[in-house]
Amino acid sequence: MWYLLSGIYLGGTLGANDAANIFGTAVVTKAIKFKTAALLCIIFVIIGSGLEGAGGMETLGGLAEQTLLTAFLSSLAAALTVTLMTVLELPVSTSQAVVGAIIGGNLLTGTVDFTPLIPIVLAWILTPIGGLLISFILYKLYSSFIQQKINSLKYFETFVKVGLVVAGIYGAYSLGANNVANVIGVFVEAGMFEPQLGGIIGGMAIGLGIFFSRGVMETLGRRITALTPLTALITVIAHSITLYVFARIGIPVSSSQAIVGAVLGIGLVKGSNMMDFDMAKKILFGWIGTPSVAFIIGMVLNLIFL
Amino acid sequence: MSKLFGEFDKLESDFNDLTEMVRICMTKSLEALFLYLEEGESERVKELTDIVHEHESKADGKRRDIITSILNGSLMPHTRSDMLNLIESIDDIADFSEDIIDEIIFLGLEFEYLEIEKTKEMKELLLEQYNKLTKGLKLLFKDMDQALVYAHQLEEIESKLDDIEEELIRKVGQNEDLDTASKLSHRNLIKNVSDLADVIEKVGDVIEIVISVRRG
Repeated sequence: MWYLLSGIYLGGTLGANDAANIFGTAVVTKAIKFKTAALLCIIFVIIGSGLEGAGGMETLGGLAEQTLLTAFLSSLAAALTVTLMTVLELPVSTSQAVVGAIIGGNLLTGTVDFTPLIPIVLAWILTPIGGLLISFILYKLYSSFIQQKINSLKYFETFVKVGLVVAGIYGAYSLGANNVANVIGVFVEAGMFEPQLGGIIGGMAIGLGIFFSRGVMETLGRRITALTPLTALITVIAHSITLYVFARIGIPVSSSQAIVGAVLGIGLVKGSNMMDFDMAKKILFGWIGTPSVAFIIGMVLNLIFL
Repeated sequence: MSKLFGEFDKLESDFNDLTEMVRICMTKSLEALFLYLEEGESERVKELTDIVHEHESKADGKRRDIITSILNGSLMPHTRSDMLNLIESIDDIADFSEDIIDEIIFLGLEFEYLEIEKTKEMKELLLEQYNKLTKGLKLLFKDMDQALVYAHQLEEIESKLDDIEEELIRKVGQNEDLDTASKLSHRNLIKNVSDLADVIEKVGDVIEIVISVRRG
């Protein structure tokens, strides 16, 4: 059972970082208290993980055959990558780290199947694009159908506050459904759990991290809220829908890149280019840098322990 | 939800109180000004200026109460910040109105060559502008689109006042009976009255910003 420790560690880092994308805005705008947000987030991450997390597990499981030891090492390599890059303040995506770690950790054993890699990489690229398109459409829909109905300060504020909480709940469900495979997929492939039980355990691991997400939640929440209350709400919803779509497809993707895409979509509606060099660099680094670092760490761990 | 609605209802009522105090401060200041032009520093002028000071202080007190209430409430940070800006800009009207009348009385200035009718026209426009401002503020809590219409009208009136200001100052400048010091004091009075319209218009600008932020 101790093999699972690396998965719990990875789940914790994922929860601590990604819960901020979901409830950060609601907490910062005082729509909800941190403790309530954390509790809701944990509950719905676990429900999403248990009910719809299996698709992603199958995809990641298809990358390489796993034993309990290789699963442990892959998960550890991904977790170390996320920790290292967080300490170095580099952009990081758990989904991309896990894929790099699985391939790096299993390449020498000759069990890697590169076939699922094509849809996975395609999904990475489509994540910010999906976020962009969804936020663009949501913004247009809001302007056309909803804006006139909430034409007073009172109703607007209520709409945004309630919206942020509902979007947060949906986001937590989507995060669980999409990202739990990162935490538990390799262990399910190794035969440690059935997908649904694995999903629930993975969701609980993510939940552990959510308890420690207050700082990140406030930092990221302020960044998103700096847009405007409405665009912050649309960004969170677009991000959650994007994650959910890829959960249904069965490919874990980056929550942060979905947020970036959603912000760009708002900029597109407003006719302003919100994409800068720094943002493009971060996305590219997420696609290439993160899996590369995880690949190397995975390979090193494999050489040491196998 | 009912707590949030209640908070907005209280805010709306507080804004009504504040704008009423500021309205009295402004109208009494303008009344005192025209009375001063007619009869100098009379008892009646003194009574009016006392009312101006009293209501300026009341408005300050109300402003502090509203700020405390906002800071203790559960409004979103954007809304807090917008409401605080709005309160400050409304309060500026009271401060400016008080300054106009205090300046001429404290300095004991005389304005023999001022075109009273044109200056009264400025006063009427200011009162109309303030009425539109109070309507716009009330509508901000009920119908933001309509509030925006009123906010734009404040700019139009301010522009009319600018035209009158220019016309009056040019006439003062061309008046050969006035020495430079008198010309400057006349110009200052005309400019102060016109600048009051700018201060009111600035509240309209804040209203526009509040609405724009909520339009995304």
